[in-house]
Amino acid sequence: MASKGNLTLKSCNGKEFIVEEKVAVMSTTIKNMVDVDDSFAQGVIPIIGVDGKILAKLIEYCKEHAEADEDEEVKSEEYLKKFDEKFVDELNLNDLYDLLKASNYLEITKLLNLLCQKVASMIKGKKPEEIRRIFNIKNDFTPEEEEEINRQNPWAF
Amino acid sequence: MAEIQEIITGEITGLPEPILHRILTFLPIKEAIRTSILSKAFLNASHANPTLEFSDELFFNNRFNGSSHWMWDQKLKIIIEKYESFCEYVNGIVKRYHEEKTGIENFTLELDDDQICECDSQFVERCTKVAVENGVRCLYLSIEKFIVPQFVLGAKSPLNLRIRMCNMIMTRHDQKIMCDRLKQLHLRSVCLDDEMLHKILKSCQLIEVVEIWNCNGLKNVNVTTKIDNLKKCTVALLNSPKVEVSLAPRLESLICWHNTTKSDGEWIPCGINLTASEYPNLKILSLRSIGRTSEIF
Repeated sequence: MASKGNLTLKSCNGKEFIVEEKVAVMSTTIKNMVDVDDSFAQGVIPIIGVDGKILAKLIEYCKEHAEADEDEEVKSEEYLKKFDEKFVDELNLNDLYDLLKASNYLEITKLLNLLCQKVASMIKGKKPEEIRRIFNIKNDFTPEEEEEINRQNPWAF
Repeated sequence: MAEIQEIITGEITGLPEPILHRILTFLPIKEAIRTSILSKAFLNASHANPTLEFSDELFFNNRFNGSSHWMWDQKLKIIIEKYESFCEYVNGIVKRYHEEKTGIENFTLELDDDQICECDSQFVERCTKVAVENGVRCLYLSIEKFIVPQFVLGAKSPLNLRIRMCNMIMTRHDQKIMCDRLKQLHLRSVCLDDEMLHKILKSCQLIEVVEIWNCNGLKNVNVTTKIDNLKKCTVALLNSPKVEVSLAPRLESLICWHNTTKSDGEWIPCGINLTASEYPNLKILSLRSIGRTSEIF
């Protein structure tokens, strides 16, 4: 059992992580759980649909940011920016998708925005075919449908 | 050399729609719309995108620049045609949001082209109404001489109101101001009077940012009601009003500028009055052409 001030998070494949409460409550979902029901603070919090690998990544991110929120001196804005950059650059697409879903479900808004921004930067300035190739998107339109979309938004294309 | 390719099992289009919407908000509006061509999932996301941005400048694509050798009446005819197609386009989308009751978070309508003198105020009003009914959080209107309808201030949902070039003097304000959750108010080149501004500020006690730029009609800018959350206050005006800020203990930034256009002759500095005893969080203080009327300095 986690000691006072710590919470135990359990991934869907049974991996347990003991983290400081201030790190865990970066997630609004977890914060609400702990606030509403005291037993979560004592026992184990199951994180549904998030596996150990992704949960470890989430905790890595939240730890850095929780510490920075607490002490600006030790972890400056510049440091965090570099950390964020490195964090998203090291992700492959599968991890990126899984983290997006997990941070959305756990309501870690800062991380969610960071990841969405990363995806947007991969789309920016590219042609549709290029974007489809990068993200492995299947074009499920007929040529007629495609023409119709072009026709509806003539100014954007 | 062999290229190592990761095997992608997940799909971007398998992401929940709110995530796709959030991704779209980080793209310039044109590129966000362009994603609708990628696949049906993106088209659906684009159709329910809670961010709507309509700007004649983007729509017109600045295509008329550099065509000064044209005959003026010919040019005007094309501009009117273009303007009509812009309105038709906006109308179609707004109508769909209305019929399908799709939530709107951010709504922008810009009609800045001064070649279009008369804006169709009914059209603008209709669009704004849908945005308000569908729960708009950030509302940005930039339309010359458009009279801001009463229902904008009667809406509960807005957190951020940006109004530019519009008219708020003629806005009816006999009814209660309901936008009491408002956190940011930006008024730029808007016609409004002291009473209106005071009434808004009095009703919006959660307000954090107040920015007033070159608005006509103001004489006394009174931020004197108890606004505990006010962090940033900017008042920059062409005429010389009195500015009074008080009881805003969290104030971080205070900017008061008298943007005078007169280089010589009559020059009246405007007065500032800071009545709270202290502003412990103040980080930015910028005054220009201000005559003080308080003993705080």
